[in-house]
Amino acid sequence: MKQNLLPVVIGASVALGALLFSGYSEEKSHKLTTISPRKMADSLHAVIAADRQVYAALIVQRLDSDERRVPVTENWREGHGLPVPAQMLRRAGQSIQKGGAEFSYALRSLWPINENSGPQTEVEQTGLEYIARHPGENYYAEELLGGRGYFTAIYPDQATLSCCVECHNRHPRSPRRDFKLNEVMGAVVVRVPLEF
Amino acid sequence: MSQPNRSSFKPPMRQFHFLNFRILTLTAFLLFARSMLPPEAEASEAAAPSKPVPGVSRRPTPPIIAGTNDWFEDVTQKAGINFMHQFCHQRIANILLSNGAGAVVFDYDNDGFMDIYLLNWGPLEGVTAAAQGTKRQPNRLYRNRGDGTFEDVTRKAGLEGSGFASAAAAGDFDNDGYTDLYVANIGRSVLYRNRGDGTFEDVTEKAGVGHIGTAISAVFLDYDNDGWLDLFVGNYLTYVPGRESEQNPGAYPGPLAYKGEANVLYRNLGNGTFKDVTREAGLHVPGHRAMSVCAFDCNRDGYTDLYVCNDDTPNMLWLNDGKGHFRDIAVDVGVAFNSIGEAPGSMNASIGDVNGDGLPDLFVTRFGYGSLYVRTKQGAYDDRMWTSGLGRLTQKHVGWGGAFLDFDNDGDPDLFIANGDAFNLAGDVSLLLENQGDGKFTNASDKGGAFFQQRINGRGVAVLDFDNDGRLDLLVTALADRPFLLRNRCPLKNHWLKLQLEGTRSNRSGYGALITLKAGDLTLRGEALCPTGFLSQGDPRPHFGLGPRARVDRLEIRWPSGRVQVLTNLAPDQILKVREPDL
Repeated sequence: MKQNLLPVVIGASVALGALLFSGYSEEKSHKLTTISPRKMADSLHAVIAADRQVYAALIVQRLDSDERRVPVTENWREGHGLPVPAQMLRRAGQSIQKGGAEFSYALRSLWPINENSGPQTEVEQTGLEYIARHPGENYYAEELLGGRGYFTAIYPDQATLSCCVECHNRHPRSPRRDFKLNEVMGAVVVRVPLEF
Repeated sequence: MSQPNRSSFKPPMRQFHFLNFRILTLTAFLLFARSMLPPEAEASEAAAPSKPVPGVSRRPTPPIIAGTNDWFEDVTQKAGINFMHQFCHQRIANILLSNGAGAVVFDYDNDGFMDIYLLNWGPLEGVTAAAQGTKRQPNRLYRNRGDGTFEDVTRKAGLEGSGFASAAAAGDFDNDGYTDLYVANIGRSVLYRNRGDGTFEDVTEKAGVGHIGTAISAVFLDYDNDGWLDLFVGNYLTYVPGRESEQNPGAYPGPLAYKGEANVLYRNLGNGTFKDVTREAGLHVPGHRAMSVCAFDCNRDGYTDLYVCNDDTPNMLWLNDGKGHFRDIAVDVGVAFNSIGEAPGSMNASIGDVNGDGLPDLFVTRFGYGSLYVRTKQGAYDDRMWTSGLGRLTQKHVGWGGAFLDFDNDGDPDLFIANGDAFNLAGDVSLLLENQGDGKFTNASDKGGAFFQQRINGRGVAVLDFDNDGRLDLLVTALADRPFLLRNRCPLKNHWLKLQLEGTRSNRSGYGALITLKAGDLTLRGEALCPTGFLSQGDPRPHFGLGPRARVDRLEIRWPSGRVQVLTNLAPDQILKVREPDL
């Protein structure tokens, strides 16, 4: 009797094991189910920075220096021109907020042409100073603003094009006029709220 | 963070074999996970909206004993106000339960003392978890006896109300000399006409203002300056029970998870009826979720504008062109977002001139970074939340009702902010912030006294002078708690002037009148507002702190009708009744 049952038991156990294994193996154990705030901020920044670079290089720089067909000016409405890259970034950020968004971003600088683009929180102040002292590094922190927790990421904004440097160095309201190419002029600050 | 992040407890998704085995495994896992949860989260699950629990009776905050030198004293109990906000749940289980109910301050019997009307909730299917048969507790009207005490006259006045009341606005819509009341409800809102004999009648149907929705704010204004008060109603969102946060299962989702409800502007036709003119006025913009509205003349052109605070979408500044149309200029002038480029949930805006330049500034409370929008001569606004010191002072707190008040009568507007958590009923301290005269603020909560050490679930704020002593008092409503009537005992002997306006050709309430006061070296500009805030409306009498100046040299009132009235050489420390001249 025992001899007769043994293969059955073994077979059933193997089959059970195989089925169990097959069931679990279909679910990838490394599958990501969440995204960290830092990963989200980094990803958002990658898109923002790329768009900003493309706008500056393919539109602003070209039209401003090559053909001068369309002026690039902060008074772009009145001057029938194109917005400067900083305005472009701000407008895009506002446009995203209009429909409701669970993140935000802004351009900041320790030497802002527009006063409102200076640091607006303690973390921004600290982060801007940090990236100015540590070129090439980002700054990450959590902060509480109005009782709401945020993951705040601060990415250096470098002057990669000569037109950026020239504009800031000659602008009458610019508090600093000795920027050089590839120098950190400010930062893109990305915030991800940690509560809805 | 206020909510435990339980996303890691989410079971893996599998669709194939051995379902029973997995169910067993999953059950064991969830039991384990549940045992690891903090007690608060465990209780939260047990009290899910789908499982009714008996009406929860939370104990009201006991009277707060003020110290001898405290500038504010909790006199609620002494004054005879025994209202309790009916909160039929054990926790803040959904977004509607987070908001609370407010109050309105008005003189319903024209005896010269401000009365108080407090709104109440009650059971609401799909929102609360009240046991079957739980009765709604009424809204309450407290008549000011003029001796520092109040009597409950709710039943006599016929103002028990119904449904789930959020906010109210007061104004004399029929110009009969008695202030009427509009109650913004979740459900059907109600317009009560003051009969003048201590009673009110529901004229909602006749007037045509019985909007059914999620009304959360209302304001009376005369947008077309025809002498009749119109009505703007701010609506919130279409609530759908049972939704959960995608990122944090078990927690309630934010406002963007629900469809917004459009706001409504009713034009007063002058015959007891109103017409919905939202679309023709250009104000029909769906996709937003209003939290509050305030009416003021941002550019002092004589036409009342509107500022609408929205939950998680940009705020709106509706500029009145004087021809019946409004245009949203918030993005262009810089009052749509906060200074970090975000549009978090905005609770309310308070209007005041923080830096003494004669231009109306705005302070906006938020779940998130607030804003101090300071108006420039060019008509734009600079957000000085950080440079004013308010960013740091308010950093830890979720601000709900926030109101300017010159609590020391030194001639500049200070601030009071009622704070509270959005997710639990632990409460938070309120803030009293003192203007240094240049738009920079310091924390004066210590001077304020014992009340400012007490954690409450603060929501609505109304500024009033209930004892007519010239020192501005406060009424604070709280979620699942009693209200707090705070008497101002500021010892500084500064002078003041308060106005009680009566329009004749203009609307009777005088809303929209622009005022310029000169006292020696001090020039103050203000406006007779229908002073709405988050869920609440304060004392409508324009109040001016004069500091040490013992005479008002000149008072100019520019009525909405266009008439300009000038009074000179006025004694301070009085409530001055001013009637719009007939000629």
